[in-house]
Amino acid sequence: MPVKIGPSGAEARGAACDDGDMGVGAAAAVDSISRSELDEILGAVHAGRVTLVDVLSPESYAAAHIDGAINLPVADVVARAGQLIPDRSRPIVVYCGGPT
Amino acid sequence: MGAQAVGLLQELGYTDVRHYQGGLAEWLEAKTSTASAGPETVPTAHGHAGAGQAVATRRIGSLPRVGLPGRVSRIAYALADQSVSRLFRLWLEVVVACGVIYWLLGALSFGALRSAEGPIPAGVSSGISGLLSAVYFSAVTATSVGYGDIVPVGLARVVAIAEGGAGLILFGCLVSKFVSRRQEQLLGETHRIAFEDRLGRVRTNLHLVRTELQETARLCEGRAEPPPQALARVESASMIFVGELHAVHDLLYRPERTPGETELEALLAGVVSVFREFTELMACAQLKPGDRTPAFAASLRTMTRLAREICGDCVPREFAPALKTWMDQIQRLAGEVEQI
Repeated sequence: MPVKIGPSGAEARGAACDDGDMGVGAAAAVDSISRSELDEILGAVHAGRVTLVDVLSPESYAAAHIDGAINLPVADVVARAGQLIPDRSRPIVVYCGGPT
Repeated sequence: MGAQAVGLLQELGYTDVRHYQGGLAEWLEAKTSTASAGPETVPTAHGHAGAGQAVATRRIGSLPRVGLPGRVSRIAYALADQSVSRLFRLWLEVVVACGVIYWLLGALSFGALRSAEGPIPAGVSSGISGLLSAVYFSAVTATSVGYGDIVPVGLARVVAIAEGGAGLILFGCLVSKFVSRRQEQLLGETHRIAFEDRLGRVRTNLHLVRTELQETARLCEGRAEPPPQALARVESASMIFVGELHAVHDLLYRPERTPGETELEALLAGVVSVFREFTELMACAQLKPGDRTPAFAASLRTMTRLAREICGDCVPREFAPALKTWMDQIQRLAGEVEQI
């Protein structure tokens, strides 16, 4: 199956995050959390009960990421999610560069 | 983009996916603002807040956060990133600033410096020559020479110790710059050679694959059944091609160095011509899915997957329109190969 690369592939590849065209999944209701909630969850992340996912490019991840996060660029989600996060019922927190 | 990823994950069947809205920007901002509010502002005291922050964001969670050694190592890392001229200027600034401090201490009658044989005469310790001898003492301290003709007393001792430490670290950074310069040159040269080698190899192999496919097509001409050696040749050619396609893909999306546009265009054109040969050959030889060996089928799959990822819309930088044309052709031909 070919890797899904939508119209926002260019943004997904780079570190930029403020794409106007959100593509797939933008319409779905997204359960978002605030910074203080993330602070509470971080303990569980380090204990390995929650997966924190950095969806920015590998370059951006190498430069800076939240401690304990794994790197899974948006463009690779479909191809590699199953391999990186085998357990589908596991709680996942996703973040990117900014508030999008 | 985060929301997009959440959507994709949900489509893949993950049930509990949440989105941290603030993202990395908010996280880092909060990190650095707590850092600059706390006691970790030592780099700022030297006027290098920017460098200090750069180091802080680069190594979140990995640097020691407590104690004087932690802070000193943080400053040292920040200093190591500065240029030689900047380090030297900083060193001079430290010398002059500390000299002025000794002089002021003396002028304010703290009796900061005295000659080793006895007190510096009153007129000397506060006037212009007092300033000069204070700067002289400062330089002797910062270079850690320490002649001992002038010695600090009282509060000036604390300043002298601090200056000595700072001077030593700055000097160490400066010296290490000179030592590592040649090494970095050599490393850069090695990278460049390896990179050019790789480009050359990709070019040659694309050409080889193409001629090989043409040869094989000639073998097949005028026969209903492709001869067995033709199948083996196509199979091995496809494997080489997949390897080179990987390399082209990496050059586009993971460039350690950016190849020139003409360079890239030539490579993409090579890929397109190989794909054309493939489609023609597959049509002539009538390689049916059932006849394919598992290895050949696998390399065909990888081939089409990689080719589909090379697309004009998802290139991370601005390319010439010519590149996009080639990429679109690759996409189209990959689709054709997939359907055969």
